[in-house]
Amino acid sequence: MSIASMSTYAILSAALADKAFVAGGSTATPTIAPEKILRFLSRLRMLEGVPFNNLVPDPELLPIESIRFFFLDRAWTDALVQGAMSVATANTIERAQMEQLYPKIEKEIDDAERRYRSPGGEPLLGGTAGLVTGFLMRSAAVAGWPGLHIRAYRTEPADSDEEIVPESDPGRIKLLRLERLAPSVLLALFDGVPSVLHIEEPRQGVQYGVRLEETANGLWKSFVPARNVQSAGYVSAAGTPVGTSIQAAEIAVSFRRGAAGVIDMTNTARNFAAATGTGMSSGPTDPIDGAEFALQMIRFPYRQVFAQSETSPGIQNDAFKPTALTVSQGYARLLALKIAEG
Amino acid sequence: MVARGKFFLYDSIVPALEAGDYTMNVSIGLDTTGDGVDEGDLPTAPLATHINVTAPRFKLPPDQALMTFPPANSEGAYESRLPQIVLKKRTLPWDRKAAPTGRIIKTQRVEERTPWLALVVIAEGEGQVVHDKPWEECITPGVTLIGRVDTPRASYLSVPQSTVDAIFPTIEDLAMLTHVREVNLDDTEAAMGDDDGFLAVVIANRMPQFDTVNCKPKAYTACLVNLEGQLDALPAKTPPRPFFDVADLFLTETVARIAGSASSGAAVPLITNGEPRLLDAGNRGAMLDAVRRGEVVFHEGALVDRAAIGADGGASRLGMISAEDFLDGNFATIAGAAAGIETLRVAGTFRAFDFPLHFLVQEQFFRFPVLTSWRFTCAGDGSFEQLMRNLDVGLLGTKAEGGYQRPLANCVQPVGGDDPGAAPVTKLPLEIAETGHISVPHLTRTGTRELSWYRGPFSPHQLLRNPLASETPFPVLAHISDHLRMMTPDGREDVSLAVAFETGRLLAMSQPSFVAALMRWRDEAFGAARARQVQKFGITDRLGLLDRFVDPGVLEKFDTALFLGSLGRELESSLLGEIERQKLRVVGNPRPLADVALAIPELGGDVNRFMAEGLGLDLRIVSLIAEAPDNPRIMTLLQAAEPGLASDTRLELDERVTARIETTLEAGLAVLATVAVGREDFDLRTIDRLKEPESLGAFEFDRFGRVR
Repeated sequence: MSIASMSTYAILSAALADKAFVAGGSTATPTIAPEKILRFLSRLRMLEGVPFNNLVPDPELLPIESIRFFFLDRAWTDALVQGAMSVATANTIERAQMEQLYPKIEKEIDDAERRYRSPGGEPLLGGTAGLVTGFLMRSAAVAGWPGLHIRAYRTEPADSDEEIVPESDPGRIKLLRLERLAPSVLLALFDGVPSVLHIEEPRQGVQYGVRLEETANGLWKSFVPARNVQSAGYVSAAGTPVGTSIQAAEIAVSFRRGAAGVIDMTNTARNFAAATGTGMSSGPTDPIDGAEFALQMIRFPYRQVFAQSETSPGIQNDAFKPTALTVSQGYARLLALKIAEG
Repeated sequence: MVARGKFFLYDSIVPALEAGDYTMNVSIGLDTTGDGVDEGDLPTAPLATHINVTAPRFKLPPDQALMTFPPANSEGAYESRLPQIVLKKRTLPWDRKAAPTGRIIKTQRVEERTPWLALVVIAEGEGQVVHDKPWEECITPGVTLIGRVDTPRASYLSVPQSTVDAIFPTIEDLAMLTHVREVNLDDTEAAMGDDDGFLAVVIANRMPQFDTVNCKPKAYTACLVNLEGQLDALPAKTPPRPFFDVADLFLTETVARIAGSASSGAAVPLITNGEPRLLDAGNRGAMLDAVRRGEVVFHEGALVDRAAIGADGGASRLGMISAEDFLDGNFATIAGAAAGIETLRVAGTFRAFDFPLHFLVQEQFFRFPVLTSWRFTCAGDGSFEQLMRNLDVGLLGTKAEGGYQRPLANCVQPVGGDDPGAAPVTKLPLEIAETGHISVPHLTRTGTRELSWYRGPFSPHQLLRNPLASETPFPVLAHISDHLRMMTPDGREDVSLAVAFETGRLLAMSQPSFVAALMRWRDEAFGAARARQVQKFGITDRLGLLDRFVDPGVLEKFDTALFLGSLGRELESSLLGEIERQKLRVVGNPRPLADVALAIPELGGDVNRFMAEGLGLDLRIVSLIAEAPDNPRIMTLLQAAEPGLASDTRLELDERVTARIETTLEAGLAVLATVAVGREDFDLRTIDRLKEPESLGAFEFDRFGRVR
């Protein structure tokens, strides 16, 4: 190394010690690398664009209908980043500079990788890069149910299952990446080691249906658990509120003769109205309307729980409780409110 | 706004105006009481404004369908779920009226909230969806629609009366099957294009069923149909029935038989070029030839001529024949019934026959315009719950024998006999190390074929980030991928990290913008930072300029400001401001924009006279030129004039100056003479005495007294 480059080297080292390389002046904490470069490198850290063959070198590692958990190899992603950075270093002095700067840049990417996925309404998280885990899932469920809900927790969430804890909650583990790599392959990366993982059927498309149970003579019994349309809670046969769908009264769903699967809506609605405590009536003044019918027919999204410990997943149906406004009266009140608000 | 994870349900949102053409008539009446004016004297013209309220009618715009369940072209266990479609426009189901409000049809009253849309689910063989027909054909003959139509060509659903009675909802059902949902948009994928969170939902009244009779998955088509003007076709209320049997799936024996034949013809290739022809079934030789050529095929009791095109473009169905007769080549039964040939159409390469139902079922057919339709298959198994419960769970690197085999439906008869075993394996078994590495074939640079270890970024174990950090000679930062190649104890190479490095390099190289950004960063940020650093070392503020002129707020963040280069700017602008405020003290009086000219007294007086004297011309001529510069006579005069000294002027100089000039001239002349002649005294005969010097040295010595 010549004398000139030696002095350059010394100045660079001193400058580095004084945090002189400040390029991203616009962000709150100035960073050495510009935002654009950091964004690319953090996306690389999250394995964006990495060929699937490099992730899973052999199909036997991810058979059909399987889920595979893993730890992310930080050395691998660091090598990936170093490879990308090596594009800019052509000679010895540039490599020397890069060696001086690299530890700092690495820390900045650690910060930036948490910004890779930032859903609306969630505060940004920072901090040093910790352990990243994740899973690969290859299943027809990924292809047929787009928009699965993936939630990872450090501790099993409390009883109030219907409350969705925000991602910034300490009990919850942030999703660093969630993407379908192929129509039936899902990749998820977590910012930590989850002890409980929930995979839930997509919620945006709430579904309607009945419970089907085969009876002894080959026929099928179909019913829905009774719900009060005012409170949206389950009610027992006596009309008192109960906690689970199993305790709720079973309202038979009628079918048309000669047409399999076609619901006889009129009689089913009559059954709904006749059940105690549903708050529905079929009288001419207050006929059963579409919202009331839909509320009774709502089916829960299924939630699969993966847990390290042998915790009971509980009753799956508790995962989801619809909350409808008091349909007949509250609807008018809400509309009035909205009109008043303009 | 609704809270996250919650939603509101509304029965219906009926628009103030249903779709159609309106004329708004405006007339103004003037009150003229007490003005003494007749109202007839102040006529105002009525104003007729036309308003057109539009809504989809025959075709659903693609952006209006937000979601369908079951997903289009999907396969799964949907037996306990009702198909539905989510529409973007909340008033869409009530934008039109299927019948006027208050009309009583089959003891049911049409309400204001009765929608004009219904989602009907048609099993394969129950009806037929026909696409791309003129809109006039898309409705049952005899039903007229008033008003605008949104598309010239549309699709329709052709169903017999029995199907309508069996599966269509009643008028009272329609209102129950439609509602409006208000959802929170925060946690959805940008609300899937909707803006206010209100969605209209249309549910079907039928749960798709697995075909347990034939033990086959059953294909269904869900159609969003327009019911305008056809409410009276809908079924009446039916008596209750608490159970249903899957054997009810088919309408009649005939349809069941044909449908079975149709579904088994799944692999019949599409015929694109055929000619209308009528095979003579009585000619046994010709028939056998056609069978040998594959043109005439046998499908579960039906004989179909694939090469011929029927009246409506489908394959000709020659008739029913028993398998024994077909194998024997006995076509007598067909020949006897050749009069009424029915045609079948092959709709696609791997789709079933799409046969015109009205050839088979003699009853009234209805046509309902289809706004949108999608197909799905109800298989016996494959619900979300079942799939998730049967996932093969493990850490990466777990070797599973095979994936989850979907269980067969419980109607499938068990097959006896020995297990044929797995298919022969053609590749070596995968070698998986306990660390998650697998053995991969590696063609090295030298051309040898080896086995190397490779592991992707996913490992079954928790790993140290930099396992070699403690070993100082090992480079912290790799510059080429070879830095990261490692040898494992078993003598094979581990190329995992080297592959990662190379992948990262190639990914970076594949994005020219990133490479450019990287180079720019090096060029600009590094150079600038170095300059700033040098600059920082050189700052000595003896005059206290920073304290005096820079905003204390900036000084607090001195380092940052210095690095960002804003300190210099601050100082500069403060200084300029200060100078501007005290410019008299700092700079002095401002210089005037223009200097006042000095007066020259000699130039006073007659300008013409000056000119004439200076140029030596006659004053008269100059005066004439000044008066009339264009006169050619004067130019002639000017040419004829002889310039001359108009006057002599004696210049009086100071005596000292004169004396100085003379002395200087004398001295100069003497030097010249000395150089030219030599150091002799100069008289009249000097020239005669002059001799040629013998050399340049002698000449110089003589003239200048120098010896070289």
